[in-house]
Amino acid sequence: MENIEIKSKPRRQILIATDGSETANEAADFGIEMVGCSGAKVYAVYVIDTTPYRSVSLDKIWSKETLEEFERAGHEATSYIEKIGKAAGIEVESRVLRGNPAEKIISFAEDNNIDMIIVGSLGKGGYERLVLGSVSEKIVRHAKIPVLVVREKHRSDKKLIQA
Amino acid sequence: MRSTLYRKILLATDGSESARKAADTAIELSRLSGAKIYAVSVIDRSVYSSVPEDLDWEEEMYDRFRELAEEAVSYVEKTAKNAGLEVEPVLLEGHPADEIVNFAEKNGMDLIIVGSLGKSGIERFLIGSVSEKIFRNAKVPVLVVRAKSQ
Repeated sequence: MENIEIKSKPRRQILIATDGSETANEAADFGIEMVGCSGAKVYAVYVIDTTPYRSVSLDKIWSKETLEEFERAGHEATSYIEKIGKAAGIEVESRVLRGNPAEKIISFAEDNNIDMIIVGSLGKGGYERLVLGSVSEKIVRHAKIPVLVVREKHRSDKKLIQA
Repeated sequence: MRSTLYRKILLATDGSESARKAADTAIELSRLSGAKIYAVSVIDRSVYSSVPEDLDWEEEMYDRFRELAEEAVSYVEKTAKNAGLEVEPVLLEGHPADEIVNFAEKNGMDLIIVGSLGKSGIERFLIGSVSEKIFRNAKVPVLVVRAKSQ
């Protein structure tokens, strides 16, 4: 029992990535449930996609109103995680970042000593079993830390048993 | 204790370094949740089924693969038992990704844990073909654990 290194580490930190989609919310449900008993801290992260168009970062082109709109969408997405985290007694910190979503999520995770990233399998455009969201796929491929991918159709109430 | 918990964790292992990391993660999660670990290893017959028939050789290969799979599974079994956890070793035969996904769906697994790379893994950019097929096809949540974390 003593030889499990992970146990000796300080408090665990989990990153839950969200784009406000149904899949992301399901991933968050599963993640919060999983984190529940461990006492870990959760970062809810939304990235405003400003992937440059011809070397001009989009947030330099967008009007103030557009940016505010994205910021609002971001806070709305992360507030869902804050809400379910609060209900489960978990500390949740929200962050709305700007940049390329997969890159930002990975670099945020590395800079903040995150132990695990949780993502939904599909973004807003997802439709099929065989398709994995490009952001999720990039995260799985490039992150150095464990990544949990939660499928769109996963229904926690169906699969999980009441304890 | 919180109200709902996942109960069954499928740990896919091939005895590689990243599979061991995945095993450590499975054990940690199991300790937190009380979930039972199914340590699954698949004997991949597809890799030599296209070779012209040579029964002796085929049998030898099969025995060797079986030995490796048993080793991989028993490592997890031993570690989990030492930690006082419930664990069940499972040996399957066929295409690894297909067998793992099928087993998970048929047996109501709540989570699949895989290492990111198999035995031939070299680079950060690569992800094992089996792991990739699993996280693309499984309906169950999949946790991919890197070979060399941090």
